Amino acid sequence: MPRILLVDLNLCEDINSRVLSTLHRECPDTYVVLIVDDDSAISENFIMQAIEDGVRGYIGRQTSHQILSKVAEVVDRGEIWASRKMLGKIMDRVLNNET
Amino acid sequence: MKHSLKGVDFDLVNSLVLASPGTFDNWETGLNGYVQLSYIKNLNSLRDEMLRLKPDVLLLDQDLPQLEGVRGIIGLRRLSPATKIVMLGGANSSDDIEWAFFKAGVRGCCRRDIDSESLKALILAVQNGELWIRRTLTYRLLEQLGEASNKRIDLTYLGLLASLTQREYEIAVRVSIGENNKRIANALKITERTVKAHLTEIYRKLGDVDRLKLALILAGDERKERRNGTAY
Repeated sequence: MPRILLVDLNLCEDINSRVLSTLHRECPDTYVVLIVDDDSAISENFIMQAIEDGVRGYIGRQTSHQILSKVAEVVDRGEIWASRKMLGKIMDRVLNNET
Repeated sequence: MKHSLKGVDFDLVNSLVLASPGTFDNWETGLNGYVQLSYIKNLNSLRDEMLRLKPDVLLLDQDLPQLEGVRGIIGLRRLSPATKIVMLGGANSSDDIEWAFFKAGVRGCCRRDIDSESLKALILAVQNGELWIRRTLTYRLLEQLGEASNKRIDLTYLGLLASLTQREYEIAVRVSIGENNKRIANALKITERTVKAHLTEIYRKLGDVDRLKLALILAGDERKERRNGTAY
């Protein structure tokens, strides 16, 4: 049961919402961070759904080891590693769900 | 004139209102040429300005007289829903207070002594839809998102589960704990073919589900039953 699981979306083409939510349900103490292509056209909706499914963050493939250790530190504390833009969208979703 | 944030250009802010009992001369110098800053010292004037100007960004001091915290913020948002509100506070602003501000719809929190360069970055960020939130608060976002998501799933499937017959529900529960069709058939003394027929009906009633999703739905239902202190 690792604390942090880095999941490369290129290596795991079958990764989808069902897999991520099951992983989160079965291993709630393992925090998943997605590795995406730096120039990836991965949609914000996919990331939003992944975070709803329990993913704790996402990083580019070229992320330096210094940043990677920072990501591990932040995620280990239970926080999210995501852009401010994505945090804005998550907040919008939270507020919309409450109204 | 364009300003750049992370390589993306933005038009300058049309209107920026600062509502605070304090003065911020250093900002005026730092923001010179970037935006015209309007100073407001009390809540009534601020309300008028929100209606008249509908500013792009409002820098709102937590200590503005008569603001009354979250209630005041919600009232101001009603006057100009598109205005991005950023709260200004002191060094001792707690996580709980800041989170309450975000729940009221503010897009950022920062300290009053923020330098003008950082303030510019903040303004561009919130204009761009970003959330200026300290990282230590992001776990609350996750919690709220999870709760909202569970609530949505619960509400969606609560009615659908109620539409299952007693036998269908029994089979659904057995599937959810990993039993295969043969085992279910043996346990219920029916044929595998009948189990399959029941499952087809269950999937039809619950919509786009498979065995795994059925297990997740039942797991959610079981959690709810435990919360309510009832059981099937």
